[in-house]
Amino acid sequence: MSARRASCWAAVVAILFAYVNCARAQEKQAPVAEAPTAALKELRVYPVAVTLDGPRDEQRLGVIGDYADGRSWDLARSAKFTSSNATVAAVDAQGVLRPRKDGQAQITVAAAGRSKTIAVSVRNTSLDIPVSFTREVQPILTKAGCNQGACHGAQHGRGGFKLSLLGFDAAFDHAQIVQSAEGRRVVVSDAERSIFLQKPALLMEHGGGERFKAGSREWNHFKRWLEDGAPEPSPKDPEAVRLEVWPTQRIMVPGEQQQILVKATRKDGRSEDVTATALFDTVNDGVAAVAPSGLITAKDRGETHIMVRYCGQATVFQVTLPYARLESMPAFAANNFIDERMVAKWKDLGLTPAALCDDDDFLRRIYLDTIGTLPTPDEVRAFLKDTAPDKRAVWIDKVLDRPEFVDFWALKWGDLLRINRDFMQDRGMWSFHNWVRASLRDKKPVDEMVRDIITAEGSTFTEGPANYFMAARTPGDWAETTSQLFLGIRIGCAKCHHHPFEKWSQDDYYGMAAFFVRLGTKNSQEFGLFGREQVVYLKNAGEQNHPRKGGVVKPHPLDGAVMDDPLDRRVKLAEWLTAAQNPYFARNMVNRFWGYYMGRGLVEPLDDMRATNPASNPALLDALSEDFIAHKFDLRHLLKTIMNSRTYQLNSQSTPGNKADADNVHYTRFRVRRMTAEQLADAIDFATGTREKYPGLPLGTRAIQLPDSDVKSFLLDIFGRPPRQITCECERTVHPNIAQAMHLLNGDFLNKKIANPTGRIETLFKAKKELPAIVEELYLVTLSRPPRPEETQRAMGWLQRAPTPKDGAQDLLWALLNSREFLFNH
Amino acid sequence: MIRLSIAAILVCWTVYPAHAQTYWQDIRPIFRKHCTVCHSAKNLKEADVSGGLALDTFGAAKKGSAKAVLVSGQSGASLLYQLLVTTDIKKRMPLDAKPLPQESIELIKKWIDAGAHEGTPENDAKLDPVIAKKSGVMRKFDVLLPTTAIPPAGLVKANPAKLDLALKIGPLAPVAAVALSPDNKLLAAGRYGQVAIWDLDAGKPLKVLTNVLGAVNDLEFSRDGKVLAVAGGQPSAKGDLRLYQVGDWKLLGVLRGHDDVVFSIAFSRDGKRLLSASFDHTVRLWDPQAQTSLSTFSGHSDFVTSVAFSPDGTQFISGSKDRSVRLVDTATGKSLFTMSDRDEDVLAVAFHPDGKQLVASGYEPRISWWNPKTGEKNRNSPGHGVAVHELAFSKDGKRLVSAAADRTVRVWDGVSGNLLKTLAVGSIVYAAAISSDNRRIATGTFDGLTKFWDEASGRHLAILLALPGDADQPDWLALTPEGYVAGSDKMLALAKWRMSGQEVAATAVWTALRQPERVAQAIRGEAVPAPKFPVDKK
Repeated sequence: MSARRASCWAAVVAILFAYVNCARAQEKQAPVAEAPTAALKELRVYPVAVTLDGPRDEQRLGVIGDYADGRSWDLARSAKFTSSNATVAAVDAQGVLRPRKDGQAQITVAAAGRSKTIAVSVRNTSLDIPVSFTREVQPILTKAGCNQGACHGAQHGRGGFKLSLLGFDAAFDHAQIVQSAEGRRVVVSDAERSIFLQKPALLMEHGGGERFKAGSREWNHFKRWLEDGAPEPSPKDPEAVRLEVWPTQRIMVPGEQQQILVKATRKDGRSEDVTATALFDTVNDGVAAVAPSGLITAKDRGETHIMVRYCGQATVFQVTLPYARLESMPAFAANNFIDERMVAKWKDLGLTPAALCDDDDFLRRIYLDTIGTLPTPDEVRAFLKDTAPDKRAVWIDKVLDRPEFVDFWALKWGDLLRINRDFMQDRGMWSFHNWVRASLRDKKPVDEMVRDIITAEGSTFTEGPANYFMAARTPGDWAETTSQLFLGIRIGCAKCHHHPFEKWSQDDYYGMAAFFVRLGTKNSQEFGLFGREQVVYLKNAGEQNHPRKGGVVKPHPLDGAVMDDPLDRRVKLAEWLTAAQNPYFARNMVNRFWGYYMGRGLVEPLDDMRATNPASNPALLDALSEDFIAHKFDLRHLLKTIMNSRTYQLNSQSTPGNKADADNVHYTRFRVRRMTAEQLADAIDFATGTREKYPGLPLGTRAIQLPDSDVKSFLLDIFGRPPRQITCECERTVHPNIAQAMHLLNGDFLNKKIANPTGRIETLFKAKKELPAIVEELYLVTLSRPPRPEETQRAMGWLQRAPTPKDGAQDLLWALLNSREFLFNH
Repeated sequence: MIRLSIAAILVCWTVYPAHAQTYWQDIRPIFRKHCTVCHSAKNLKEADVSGGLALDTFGAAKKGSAKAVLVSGQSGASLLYQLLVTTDIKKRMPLDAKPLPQESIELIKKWIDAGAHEGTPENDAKLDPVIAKKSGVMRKFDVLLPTTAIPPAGLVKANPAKLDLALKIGPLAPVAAVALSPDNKLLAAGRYGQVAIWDLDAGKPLKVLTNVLGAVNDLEFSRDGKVLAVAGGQPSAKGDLRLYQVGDWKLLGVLRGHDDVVFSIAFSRDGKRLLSASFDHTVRLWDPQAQTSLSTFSGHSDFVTSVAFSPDGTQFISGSKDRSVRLVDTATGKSLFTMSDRDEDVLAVAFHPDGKQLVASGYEPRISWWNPKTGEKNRNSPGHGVAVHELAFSKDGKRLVSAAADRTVRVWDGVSGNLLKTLAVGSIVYAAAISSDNRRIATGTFDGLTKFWDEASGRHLAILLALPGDADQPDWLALTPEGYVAGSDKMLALAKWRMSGQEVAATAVWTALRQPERVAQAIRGEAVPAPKFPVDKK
């Protein structure tokens, strides 16, 4: 590294540090929120009645005051809790109820000058119930961080002690703690001598430092478990099936704090307060922070979620800090339900949208987004001249009917389905590609298309969708791909261990894989000389084994019941997948297409739908998905609805009313984005009046018509064409890089096209067009709008000063092609 | 003047004001909480972690790293203090963490300024980490011991079924070590804090040794039968290796040096050398007579779980959690071969008495047979399917016994490695020993029981259970599968017969089954008749 670059790095690092320090300093001066001063309307206590069942049950109480000015305030930390009978139910200063003996008691909660009483029923206190490893020990190991990836959850453990990652294999963990190394870690006959207790409490050296204190709640649970003989997990232990937070969301001000409470419901229907052992993580630390206790501190304006996890279940709590207090929402004529849902969200957040975009922006937008093609000068002129009040809706319909629609969306589906001759050979690739094109042309509903794919079989050269089973090759891969593609759910983690943030377990993974386990591929001789066609066929038998537990896993879809079919299990999966009641399928589809049109998914990343990654506007996602189902999965209807919304038609201007949402998460302005590789390649061809020749394809084939990525094009590669190797929206990138700029600015690629003897400029000059007309034409073919008077004036000056007007026109086209207005969809 | 201050400093090291801060009493707890996670002796080799500095002993802190960190009497000149208070966030300790609490920093400063006294290191008793008083009443669980005895109908008020003996003494710590004396007259069985010595002829325990520290992981009698070595210690803190005189069970000495439990020991045939393998990653060679450490082998990079001498004592083998088996020259401590054929921990190794083969196994349960001359593998035996905890050859080399987590002991042909028989022990088997006459096998299991077996028939002979009792008298019980029982009065008072889970209160059952002589017979390996219950007169 050169000295200069090194010092450069030092400077960068110094700046980073300065920034960090600065951030820390700011953290220290976090604002203290003022409690509401308006009159208290209502004192809410959660839960409204408590049953404590068993000797170690506990329940934390939540207290919220609702005030006349619409604000709410967490009163739990200032409330006084008293028990009418502390020998039955004791309550501590934090409002945690604990059983003492069977009976009834009343707990009085006094706060902000009011009080409320709740009934507590205590039972089974004298039952001798041994501490449960799964319910009472393992959640503590997880909460204390013992089994995280950096500690004992690492592949080889730490310090000779290994636990399953995030505690999803109770039997393994129990054996490690109790049995391994001849019982080194526990002394059941004298619990406190166990290093299992001493190390985390730092009574002995512990590489992981102090995880809890001797005598703490965690310590006592561990100790009691050891004294109970360290009982092993029982397969009968009811697993947690649902997690609920209270409250579910709060609108807060900076500095305000809120304790959230977590309730877990188990398979046997019993529920318990798991606030003490649930894990809390904030999605955006800039907006709100959360302490391990579940105490949330609101920080800065915006909206975020607190991820809550417990025993393989996950949910979220929503924190909103409005950007501003809106006196009233400016007039905003909603075009359809999308706008209504958007406005509701903007009101909550104190955001106001940008103005409607201009007609020229609109036309360019719907052309690029829907058919990946720039409008011709004639189309632009016609649209601008059109005075019909509903002309935007009319033109949306027109563009949806264009033949390029098939090209452009076949390209997108090709990305998703990984249509690629690497996996499918040339003939398989073409057959799949042509099948997708035919489906789009025939307006096949998306659910039908997906059913056809999932249940495809036969020759890959004649049955296009059978090639779906060529891109992935094992039941596990097929299960992963199908889940991610059609449900937006990434279950890959669950192949080896329980998903760290989600409820998906290995059972779910292999339950999905079981649908595909009887599927085989074999070589066929039918095509003889053409060679090596593959046939996807169904085997008579075959079961999916559980790699850890052993035994057969019956086919069951994610969150679904066991289902089977004597002929083809996939039929059942396909039916379940595309059923109107399926909570994931339609949501995943609408989120993807919304994301393609709006530049950001309601759930982002587009294909990572999970409880802990909630939508920025859940009501809109629900509404879009219901509408999609109601319209029988009609893709064109969905796109039409999106394009007709006023939200889609906003301009891209930052305004005082919307700039606070810096990331434009809430679509208060159009999200400007670079043209995709194929859009750009075709736009350059169109603007320069040339035809790029793609190897192996007839001249005139456009970039959006390419069947796969195995067609050589430097331009497409540097502008982020996906190689179609992995099932991920992230494969297509829009990141800028230096090669892009150099290729367009310096390369002779563009110069050759501009100077092409049959190209745009030559044709215009051959037609002996007036210079102002040429200038107008060049603006229309690149920016899809006529030049403004001052632009015409400046361009004319340039053309006249140039050695020849043609040289000048070439320079102008070059400049326009390198302008951001051309390169971006805006 | 200078001389005087030197004298003063020297004095300071030993004599210090009663209230001055000391390393062991005041500073060590702070270091433990904030510093020794990285700055410990075991991390010294990892410069990235420790920076070459250990703070977990006073000596190490005084020694410093490449440079001194501690200048007695001058906190300002001590790097140890400077790095706690520096404003340079890239240097401040603890790195990437919150600074120490102000009062801790003050304490360290005062300690250094007052002369950085050592104080009294925690002694054995204090290391023995008893935290507070035992909490309340310990709950006791039933330990259920099965028999095949079925009382005749009418003798008890229930349908006849097999009798179980329930003992409210659980939970029991696992029996992790068993050893048979060379004359096959004594059995030693070790569990946390105890070693029970059984007289196998009399069929009762002689003694329960309780003067051991923490876990007991291995036991071995010397070949002359005069010394019993007991290995174990306080996990993660201190290894413990003790020598007892067989007969009067006098503690001959404690061999100190290991920093973690001693997991395996081996006497040389002549009894002049003793090897100890420890979780502190080392193997030590001792002179048991002189009670001195001769050398330390530190070629393993993780827990050493097993060790064995070659028959002539010139070499030894050690197996480790680092997945390798090492063959080491005893005299030079040089590693001759590293035998690695597995992806998981090695837990057990054994040398064949003819010196021509050695075996190793562990979490990967196949048993690997190696040639110690060439370091090549001869063959694999299939093992147990799950972890193998111990391997032992019989004295004549005709048998190999393996103890495993599949709750069985398997007996293999000691030469060919073919499986001869499988004993269903009933709980994870941590330890197994075969008598020198190949007649009997003893096992120690996770459920806290010691069991005795007949090698030839695979017959279960007896369950042996001994705990420390009052006035040095073991509290014990022995039970044969036929139902014969013997034991101390106190233990038998806790015992209840059960049938199909229901308690059986019939003195006739006790009369028929409390037969110490039958129990002793069974333990000696003699056949015992089925118990005779009084005939129902009805």
